[in-house]
Parts: sequence; C-alpha cells; structure tokens
Amino acid sequence: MRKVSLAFVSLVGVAFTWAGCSQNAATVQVRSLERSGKAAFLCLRTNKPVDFPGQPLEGCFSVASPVGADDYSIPHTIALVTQTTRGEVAVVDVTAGAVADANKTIPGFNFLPVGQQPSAIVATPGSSAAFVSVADPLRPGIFAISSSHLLPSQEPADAGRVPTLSTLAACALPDGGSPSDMVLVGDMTKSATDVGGYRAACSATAPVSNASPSPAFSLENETPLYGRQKLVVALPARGELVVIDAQNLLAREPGTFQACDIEATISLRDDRPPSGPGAPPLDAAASVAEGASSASDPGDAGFADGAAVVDANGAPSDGGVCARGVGPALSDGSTLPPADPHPLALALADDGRLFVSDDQASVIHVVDVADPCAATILPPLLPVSAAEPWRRVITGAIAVSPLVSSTMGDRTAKKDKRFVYAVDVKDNGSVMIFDVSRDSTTRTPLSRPDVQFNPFEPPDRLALGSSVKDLTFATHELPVAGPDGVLRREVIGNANPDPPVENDLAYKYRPPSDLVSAGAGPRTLRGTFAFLALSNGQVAVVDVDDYDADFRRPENSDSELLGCTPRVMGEESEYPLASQEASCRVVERHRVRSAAYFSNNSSLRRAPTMQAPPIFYDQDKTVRSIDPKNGGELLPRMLGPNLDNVGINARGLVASLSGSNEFSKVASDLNANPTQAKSNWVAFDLREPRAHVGQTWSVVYEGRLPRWAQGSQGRLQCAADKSAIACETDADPSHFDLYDSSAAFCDSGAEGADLAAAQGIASGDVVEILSDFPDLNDPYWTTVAGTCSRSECEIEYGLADKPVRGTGAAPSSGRDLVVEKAYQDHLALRPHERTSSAKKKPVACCFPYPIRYTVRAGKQWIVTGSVTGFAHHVLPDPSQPDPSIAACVLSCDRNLALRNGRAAGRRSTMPVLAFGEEGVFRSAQLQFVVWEPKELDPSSRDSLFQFDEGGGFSLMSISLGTTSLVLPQSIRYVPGLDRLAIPDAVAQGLLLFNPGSLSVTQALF
Amino acid sequence: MGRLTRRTVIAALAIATGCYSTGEGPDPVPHAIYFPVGLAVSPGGGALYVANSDFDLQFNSGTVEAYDLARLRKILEPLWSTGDATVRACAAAGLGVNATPVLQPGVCGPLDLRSPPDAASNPEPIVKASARIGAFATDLLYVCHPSEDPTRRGSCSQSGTADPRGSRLFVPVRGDASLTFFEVDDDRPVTPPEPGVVRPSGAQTFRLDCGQAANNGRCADGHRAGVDAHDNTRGLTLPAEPFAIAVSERTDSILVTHQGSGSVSLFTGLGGASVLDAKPALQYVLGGLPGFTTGVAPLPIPGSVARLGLAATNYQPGFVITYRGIPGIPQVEILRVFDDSFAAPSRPFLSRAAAFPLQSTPSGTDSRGIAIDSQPRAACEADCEGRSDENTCVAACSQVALPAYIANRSPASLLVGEVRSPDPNGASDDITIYETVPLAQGPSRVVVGNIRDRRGVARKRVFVLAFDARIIFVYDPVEHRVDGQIRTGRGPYSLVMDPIEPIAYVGHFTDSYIGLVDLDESHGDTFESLVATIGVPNPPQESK
Repeated sequence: MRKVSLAFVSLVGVAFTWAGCSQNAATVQVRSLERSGKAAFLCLRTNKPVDFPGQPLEGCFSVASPVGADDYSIPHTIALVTQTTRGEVAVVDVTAGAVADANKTIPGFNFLPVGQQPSAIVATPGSSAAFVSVADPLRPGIFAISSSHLLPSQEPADAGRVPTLSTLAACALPDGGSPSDMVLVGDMTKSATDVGGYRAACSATAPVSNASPSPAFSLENETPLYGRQKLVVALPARGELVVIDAQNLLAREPGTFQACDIEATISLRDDRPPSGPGAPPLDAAASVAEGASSASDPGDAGFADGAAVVDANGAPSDGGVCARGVGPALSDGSTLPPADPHPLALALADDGRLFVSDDQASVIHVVDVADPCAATILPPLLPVSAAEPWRRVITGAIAVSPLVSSTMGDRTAKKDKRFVYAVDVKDNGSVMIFDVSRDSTTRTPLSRPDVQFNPFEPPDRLALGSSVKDLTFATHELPVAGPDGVLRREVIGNANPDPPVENDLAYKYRPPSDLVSAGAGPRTLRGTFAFLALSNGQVAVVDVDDYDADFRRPENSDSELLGCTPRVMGEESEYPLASQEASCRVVERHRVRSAAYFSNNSSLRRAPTMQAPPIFYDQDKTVRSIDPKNGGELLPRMLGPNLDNVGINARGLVASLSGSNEFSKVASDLNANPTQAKSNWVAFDLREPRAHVGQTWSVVYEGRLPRWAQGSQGRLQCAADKSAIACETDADPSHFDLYDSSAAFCDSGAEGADLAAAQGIASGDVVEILSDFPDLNDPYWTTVAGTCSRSECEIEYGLADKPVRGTGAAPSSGRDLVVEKAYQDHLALRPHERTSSAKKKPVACCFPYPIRYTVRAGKQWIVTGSVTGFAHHVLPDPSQPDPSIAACVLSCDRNLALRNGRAAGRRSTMPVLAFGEEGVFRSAQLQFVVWEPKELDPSSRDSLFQFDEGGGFSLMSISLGTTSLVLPQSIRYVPGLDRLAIPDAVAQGLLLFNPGSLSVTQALF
Repeated sequence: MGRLTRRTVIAALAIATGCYSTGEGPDPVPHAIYFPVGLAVSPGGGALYVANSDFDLQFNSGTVEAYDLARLRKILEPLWSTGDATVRACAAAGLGVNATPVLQPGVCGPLDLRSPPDAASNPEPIVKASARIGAFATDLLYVCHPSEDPTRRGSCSQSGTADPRGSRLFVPVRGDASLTFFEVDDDRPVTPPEPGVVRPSGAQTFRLDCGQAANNGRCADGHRAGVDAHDNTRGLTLPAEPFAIAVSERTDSILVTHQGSGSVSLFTGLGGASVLDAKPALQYVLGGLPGFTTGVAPLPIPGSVARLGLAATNYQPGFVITYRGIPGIPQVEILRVFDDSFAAPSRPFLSRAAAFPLQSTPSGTDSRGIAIDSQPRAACEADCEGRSDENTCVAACSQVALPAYIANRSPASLLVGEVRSPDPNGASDDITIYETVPLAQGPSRVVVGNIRDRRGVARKRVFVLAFDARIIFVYDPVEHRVDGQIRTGRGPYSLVMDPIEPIAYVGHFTDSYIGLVDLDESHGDTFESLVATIGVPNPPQESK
C-alpha cells in the first residue's frame, strides 16, 4: 500500500500543479502579506494619552535598527496595508520591523477585516485614525480604524478586542457607489460654536452633536491644527465625488453599516471644449494657441508650456506632407463624443485643488475643495496625445507636485510652479505633465521643445519601458550647516560662482572633481523629484526641481551644440564647479534622471564615444583597412564633417574617440578630408543627450530595411488585369505589385523611386526575391512547360543563396525588382528587365507561389543602431482617406527631420562638408559622410561600416526586487521616515525605498 | 509491485516522457466526470459537453460526454435562481447538505449524475451521449458554422440561427496526438423555420458523433485529424503535446499550440473551406518559435475586410499566441494564415507576422490563456448598418480597440491590453499591454463573459482561473479592477458561461466535478460563489 501511495504522490505531484504534463510544482513562499494594495501611515507614541496616541508623521523617524514592538520610548511608524485577496488591512510596525498579528489566539497572521476589495486607505494628518474604502460591488462602504486599536497594549489578547467587521465603525456607500479612491480634506471654515473652532457639518441644519465622542474615536486633537477632516470619495460608477465627515464616521456605533451621511455631492462632467464640425480640434496644436511660451533656459527645458510639437495640421511644406492632423475618424465623422465621467484617482494639492483622473472621459477633473462643503468645479485638464490626436486619452494614477521654482538651478527664480503628472492608461502607461501653476494658461500636456533632437520619444509624454502603476512627488534634502551653524535647506547650486566660492554655501554641494566622491551627481538627490513605480518592478526618478541642476554641465563650453545657451556670444565661458559633463541638458525638468555622469573617460561616465574607429567590412564580412595612399579610389570611407565651426572646447566631446575628450590628441586622425584621413570616424550630436545609448552602429550599402531583415512573405500581382505570367510577356506588358498586408510598407520606411528622386538618390528601394523555386518534382513545372523550366529559372534568377542581381545597366533584373512607388499595403515595382533577351523567363513563371522577399535600399547606405534601429520619416499620405492603401510620402514635420537612416554616398572629388551642413548624414545621434570610391561595384551590396558607440544616457530606473519579482501597486512618500512606501502584490509585502541611497532598505512581509 | 502500482509508474513515466496512453486498463466509468479539462455549452443552452482526460491513466481512454443541460438547470434552479444559500434550497433541489465545504464550496451536497434527484419522475439519464478518446485531452472547443453573411461576426452568435448541418466539437488530445472532432447539434432557434429539413435544426438531440458507434465506442480515425501523414501534402503528423486550440472567425482554420515545444499546428478545411465541412487537414507545423506555445486566440477580421473579402484585400487571418519559458524579452506573437490559393496545389501555411513585448510586467515568461474581446468592434459595426455611409462607418470601426487579456503565471497576474488595427483593410494589428493586475497563484485560463447586475442588465466581466489558489478572479473591464473572487474547489481548470441564465460551470480538475456559479448580482448571499456541485467529487486516489 505504501508503494501505491508513493507512486501516486509522484504522479499526482506532477499532475496537480497544473493540468498538463511537463509542469513543475510551483514553489509558493508563505508570506503574511498577500496581494498588498495601498498603504497609509500613522505615527504613534504612548507617552501621550493612550486614547490619543497619534502625532504627525514628521514626528516619527527612521531608526538604524528595529525597535521592539512594545518599546514605545520612541514613536513608531505604523503602516496600514490593504490586503486585496483577503479583504483585510495588515498592520505593519515599521519601526519594529515586523508585521503585527491582530489576533494571536489564531494561528498565522491575522489582520483587520474590512470587507472585500479594499480600494483606498488614508490616515488623518495627526494619525488619530485611518479610513479604508471597500469596493465590494454588493457592499461598498468605508471603515474607520482608530489608532488606539493599533497599539500593542490594545492588541486583542483579550477576546473582547479581537478585530472583526463588527468592531469597526463603518458606513455604507450608495448603490453603485464602489469607491476607487479617497482623500482627506481639512475644512478650515471657522465656527465659534463647533468643537475645535471649525465648522462641524456642511449644513447648518445637519443634526451634529457637539458632544465629544469617546476619546478613542475622536479627532478633536487634530481639528484645531488641520481643520475638520472630510473624506472626499470617488464613486466612478456614479460619476461623482461625495464628501463625508470623518469624525461622524469614526464615532459611529461599531458593527453597524448604515448609509454614510453624505454632506455634499460633486457631480463630475466631461467638460471638454465642444467638438464636431466647426469646432477647433482638441489637440496639442490647439494648446499652442491657448498659451504658447517656451523655456528660456536649456537646463530647464525638459518640457515646456505649449511648445510647438509639430507643424500645422496637414499643411504641406517643402514638398512633403506633414504627419499630423489626420486620424481615423469615428463613425459619425466628428471628434470624440463626450463620455460619462468615471473618476478613478485623486490628487490633492496644498492649495485646495483636487485633481481627479478619469478612465472613461478624456478629461482630468479639477475641483476646488478648499471649502469641501461648497466645492467648485474648475475647467478640466485636457489629456490629449500629439501623436494620436484622435485617441480618447483616459487617465489612471495621478499626482500633484508641491510648488517648485520656475527655473531649475536659478537662485533668483520664484517658487511658483506646480505640476500634475497623470498616467495615460492606454499609451503603455506613459505620463503626461500638466502645468497647473496659477499663471498657467494651458490645459493640455506640456511638450518638449527638443523634439527635433530626440525624435524617438513622444513629444508630450514621459514614456518608460513599462507602464507607470503609480507615482508621487517627494522633496529630499541633505541639509548642511551654514557659517552660523544653522542647517540650511533649499540651497541652490551654482557652477560659476563669484569668488570666493568657499563662502557660498552651495560650494559644499559641488560635484566631486573625481566624479566618484560625494557631491552633486546623478545619485545625489537634492530637491523635488517624481518617483514612478513601474509595472515591471522598477522605480524611475524624474527631475522636477534639482537644486544641483546648475552644476551638471560642461566645464568650459557654452556651445549650442552641447545643448547650452551661450552666456556670451562667440566666446566660451568657464564653469569651475561644473561636473564636466558633455551636455547642458543632462538635468532637465520632467525628464527621467540620468543614472550616471554624462561624461567621458570612464565606463561609469557615459558620454558618447567611439570605442574604436568604424571598421569597413566587405560583402564577405572581411575587414578592409583604409590605405591613405589610394586616394579614395578603391574603398569607401566614413568620416565625420569638418569641425571648424564647432567651438574648440566642444570638439573633444563631439568627436570623442575611446573616451578621450581632448580633441587635439586625435585631431590628426579625425580628418574630414577623404584624401587625408587616416581612419574612419563620426561626430556625435550632443544637443539632446537622451538620444544616445550605447550601441553598435551599422552602415550597410544597399542594406536590408530592418523590417525585412529576416524576409517576409508576399505575393506578386499584375497591375494590369491579366494573369501573372502574361503580365510580363504579352504585347502590352505591365508591371507587378507586391502585396503584403501585414508589411505596412510606409511605416517600415520603404521608399520608391519617387521619394528617392526627391532626395537626390539614384534609385528607389529594391525588392529582392528570396524564395527558392518549386521543387524539381513539383507537378507545377509540367503546367508551364514551354514557358519556363526550373533550370531556365535558375539561369535567369540564380538560386536563393547565389542570386543573380540587378546591375547598374539593368537594376530591375535577376532577383531584384526596383520599387517605383511605395504604398502602405503594396509596392509598385518597375517592369522587370532581363539580362538575356533571348530567353525571357517570366518572374511569375519561375516564382508561382507567394514569394519570400526582402526590401533593400537602392544605391544607398542603411544606417541602423542595434538599439535605436532604423530611423525614417516616411508615412502613409495623411491626405488619403484610407491610410491602409495610401502612398508613402516623406513627412515635412521638422520635428522628425533627424529621423534619418539613409545615407547617400559622396564622391571623393567633391568638397568637404562642415558640421551640420547639407549633404552630411545627420541623425539625432550622428553626423558623417560616406565617401564612395569612383564607383561601387554591384557586388558591394551588404558591405558595411560598423562601430560601437560607448556611453549613452542611462535612465535612472531602479529595480525593486533583486531576487524576486515585484509588482508595485502604489507609491507614496512618508515624511519623517524619509522613505518611499511601495506595497508589492507578489511577495515583498511593503517595500521601503530610501531616496538617499536609491535602494530598498526594508521589506516587510 | 502490484498491478496498480505498476500502472501508476507507467502513467508517471508516460507523463514524463510524452503523455501517450498505454491503452491498458478498464473502460472508463460511464456517466462520470474524471479529471475534466474542457467544458463547452451548445449555443442554445441544451447541452453541456465535458472532456474527461483520464489524467492518471486509470482507464484505457478519456471520454467526451454530452449532458442534458436544460434538465440540470431545472434541477438546480432553487440554488441559482433564488440567492438562497441555506439548506432549505438544497432540499428544494432534492440535494443533501455539503459535508465537505472546504474542499467543495457550497451549501448543498453533490448532484449524483447516476442518481439525480428527479430520477423518479424522469428515468432518462442526464448523460445523454458519450465517446471515448485518447487520454490527456487538453481543451474542448465548440464551433458553429458562421453566417453566410460575412459581415456577421462569430461562429456561434446568439443572435444567429441554427445551421442544419450542425456544429462540431474539437478536442486536442495528447495521448494519441490528434485533433479529435465530433458532430454535434446546433440548437440555436430556427427563424424562420426551414421547410424541407428532415431534422428540424435547432433541436437538441445530444448528437455526439465521432464514428464511435462502429468503433467500439472509440472515436474513429475519420474523426481524428493530424494522425495520418497521408492526409496532407507535407506528410505531417501532429507534434507531441497539443494544448490549446482556437478557430478563425470564418472557421476556415484551426490553430493548436504545443506546450512541450516551440511549435504551432495549422489545420484547415478542404480547399479553403470551413473546418466544419470535412475532416480538417493538418497543413503546416510552424516550428522554431522562441518558447513553448500555450494560449491562442483568433484576431477578429476587420469589418471592411469581411465586406470586401479576404482575397480582394489580401488579408490573412491572424492568431495571437502566448509563450511559456521564452528566453529574453517576454512577448506575444501574431501568426497569420496564408491560404496559398495561388499555388497548385495550394498548401496553406503560417507565417510569423509580428511580436509584441509584454513590457508591463516584471516577467512574462510564463503566459497562458489569452482572450480577445471582439464585441466592441462588432457593436460598432452593427451600429453602422443601414447608414448611408455604411462602408466608411464600418472602416472607422476598425479603429475601435479590442480588449485583450492574458493570464500570466510569473508573477501571477492578468495582463490587460488592447488589439489595435490601424489600417481598416490591412493585416497590421498592434497589441499593447498596458496593465498588470495582480492575482493569486496559478492563473491559467481567461474567459470573457457576463454577470447580471442588480438591475437585470448583463455586464461584461473577465474571469481568470487560478488553478493553484482555487480562485476565479472576476475582473471588471469598465472599472479596471478585480471586483470579485469566486472561491472554488481544488483545481479549477475550465469555465463556460451558460448562454441563457446568469450562471457558469467550472470544471474542477483535481476532484473531478463541475461547480455551478451564481452570477446574478441581486443574490446578495450567493453572487459569485459556487452554489451547486454537479457530479460526485472524486478525490485523486492517493488522497483517499
């Protein structure tokens, strides 16, 4: 029998872990916290009266080592963490470093039961109580937890205090009122008659008892300081916010679940400007009209108020067609119809404005709740997308910043700017930034003025690798003592101080000269930052008001080519306290912070540099070195442009070889003249450091467009109404179209001869047939006897691995078919030319089945980055009603002008070009010229230059789980502790992230 | 070593080495649920089909059975229609009290299929038909003939009418590496009545035909596709470990994933016809994929394409597949079916069209079920009907994003995203995953269905089965949150919605029974809970 059991255990152990074979048993770690959701924090101490143990969070602090759970000689930070699986709230004593067991008489950890689907939790500012909303569709409500219940002395060792649903005060929300979020707002309306000196109830006629509730259920200690606390609760399905008095709820009879006393209801609306015919489009262009301004200082130019993103809608310019303004119309042909409001998340500013995200209507509601009893709906923010103006943009997580300076790094700037960050749910959780300062006139997302120099990121979004689950702002300081010994805060750095610098307090924060020691640098956070919790388990840091911003720049150059704003035209200034970085745009407002110095000379400092000069490989992948004596007759060369027009101190940064920033040392090598240059090289465009990433660049002659690097499947169809074979052979031959419905030729950058000609290039792209012929024994051949045979086809077209290719005389021959014109769904091909007119074998006869093909550049070099890929600005003609069949055109959007991935060769007899001059290949990252020999042999196809770009801008995105998966659910800053609290839904329970060390310092589960 | 032990070891080895049945053992017990892996309901609600996998090889085959669902529904009505969660309701249904509510949730004891409570008044068996299949079935798919009108979406539309040719059930079977199929009834209503039809379509006769009548109760070779290499021009047989299955919107192709290899198999109908018209042929096996293939779902065909025709628009139907054990960046992938109709002979094939990274999760290396909800686009297209600009309107509907859901195991989560189709006539769908909803251990399958709210209105929900945690998570796509958790018995594996009432059926793999879930929100005590147990739970033998 034992054998039977053992055998079955082995069998079923495999079987039951999952209903399938070959499955491994899941190893499940037992943790006390399960699917944590959101957290609220309280600071408790017991040397106060036990009934009033709370105090402001600032009164707590982090401790070097955990303190005993019963040792309240110092105040304890208590976290209340919602447990979404169990419908409970876990009590975590952060100071003791332990999860509290609410009922030690029952095995395992027991928490406070609050009902299914806890959706939000808040604590009063004085830590007297916390409130949990539950979104159980059958029983939506709010539960109150008195902080006196959380003290260890009150733990339910005695049966009477065992926490159950009936021991908590609660109220029921109205039908359909499953709450999504809530905040506490202090009603500061004075009242001489009410407890605490502030109005107790919104309505003068409301039956409010001024009798003090039991001390354990009273907020009267807090009211004089923070006003009468009101819960503002978002009820999505009802499209409204409701206001509930916190004291009223806390003092309710435990165990009852009567309807909440709703003191005020705020009905939200989709208040977008009117749409439809005749109405202005609701897009970024409209926002420009509402209030255009631009950032004045590059160091503060991360996102700008209403900066122009694109050209006017659809207006042709310089022969092209702009990418904007035409999107798929809805069925009624108008813009988006209004949607029912559906509030999701709340963010309360300290000026009394409440920002409400909406996951149905394309608005962010703004409500003035300074007087929560008479809340006023203000004009909403308008979340739109510049890239997809037709899309209904709905929002998720939202946060509002404290007031920050108008210009980062400027000591004279006022602290008068405030921003809202909101997550665009359906754009992979990207973040929109709204200026909600009192002087702001725009309601649409801010956009970057530097789009042209970094066209890879959306112009009006912060796009990260993963969706943003939640976000918050935090101000982190490292106060130092002034000459008087007093700690000073908000000391603004200055890279070019008037002497004597030692008297400047900011001097103490200067960057370290070795870029290793302490001081202003990427990992030193001084100022206000946004922290984004990503769904991939990372936290990204965004610069909002970095006190050290002025330090982070080049040391001796003001060059615009480094993204700087020259202080003195024509001269270069010195910045003795600068961080010696390669750009003035390393720290930019609303941009993800750099994780490393953007500087040369070390692997830890990541300014762009050529790891070695580009190497030329012939089509056989054999390295071919340049012989300077041949005069450019034989081999092509890739050389940077002449840098005479680049400031002398900037040259070493623009053309850095192997990490050197001393141009004089390599100048003799980095010659722009093909008859003199000793080695290949390129110049970097450093105007936007975020365009750079460490990667391998390949510049391939007649290279495959990356979309078709592995080939694709399509079919040839005669353009005329005749059979495929007759297409080429009858008296009135036509041409083929290549159809591939999944190719999206324009989006993939295909160009026909028409676009090539517009750019002065000799040939359109080439379709190369990769297919083999049907098998020799395929019955097909018998059906075309007399027209073609396999052997004849082999002669005409060659085998797939040994193709016959087009030549200069007949580019559309062999397996090559020149693209005459490209469309989104097909390519119109030039009629096929045959090298042997005596034995014309129709393409369709030799390739009767859908062909496998690739698309190559015709007589051009394809520039591809291993990370950033192939850049182009081809798009389906937006003036065509059906984009799926529209012709491919070049965008005239100036912001896309540097999205280039095609380089035309230049004859070595032509003049040398200067940096930025027309004729130089320019992308957002590189500038160079390919100098071709007198004639490239057709067999040069696939010969290439290749080099590694070292360095690159690295985004500060820190993994929360080094050994386990983490799914952060929310993030908030905990003052006092100076930590970011991040509940994890997988296994880490509650993570505490230290913005000083930029690491997780505690995981409580 | 005793006989039972030997068989067990053989079974264990079989599982470890490729899951092939030895063919030994007794015949399966009739009218019994045994390690159910697939449930399906006829669109008229008359029949419930169950695929039993014989997972521990106790018997010489698995089975597929057809149950009289209308009768089950009627017997259990006191449990699902009243919201009464007391023993009073059990008595009303003729059931006892549940003695093991921890293992099998619910107040009432099980409904014994061999001895139902109404046996006295109705001696007919509840299990109306049965056939034996290979061991280790993995899924069950009911497919109706699509409408002759290509603009009508879905093969089993509730608003459609019964097709006199009936429908088919498809079952991927690992034991004999086949796609086994059954002829079954299409019991949707007939409107208008069809004169001259011998068997009035719409009737439910519990037909379950895989040629077993002439084959000793086992499905005949004529109903097992992918077994004979001579059935196709490529000499293919179905690779090992077929797993999930999906059919294209026009029912002209079926994809089967293989959880033990990086491959996907393509079955098509004869000459491009429906897979319901003749024995489907295994046409192509796409190998070399980056991970073990798990989930599969068809991509809806854009309305414009449906109107113009696939050939005229050069459109290739697509499927989305998910992966397990994929190295590097986790992803889902779109495969497209090329009918190869220009070739002679045409040999349909699959092509990898595009891959989409699962960026919104720390790890997507173990994805399972996937569901794409085509209803929003269908509703948009329906609104266009009769308009003067109908074609333009329908073309615009392609811009309506389709919700997509993926069950992800590591971490346990539901990935939520969208399928977008930027080109109304193009096969260029994009998949964006933008949300990760945390779940408990073992998510495996995703089902899009409905609950009935307190006003009696159907509300869409996404049900995710977490096998290990014994929970079905209920995700509200409007509120963007999990709004319910259905506590199940051990090993919830399959879920099917009742087409008539707000109830659902959960196949419990571990204890071999079917649970009935109340999905009527007006039932405060029983909403989103198991209220009935169909079949006597049968714990795995080692735990007896």
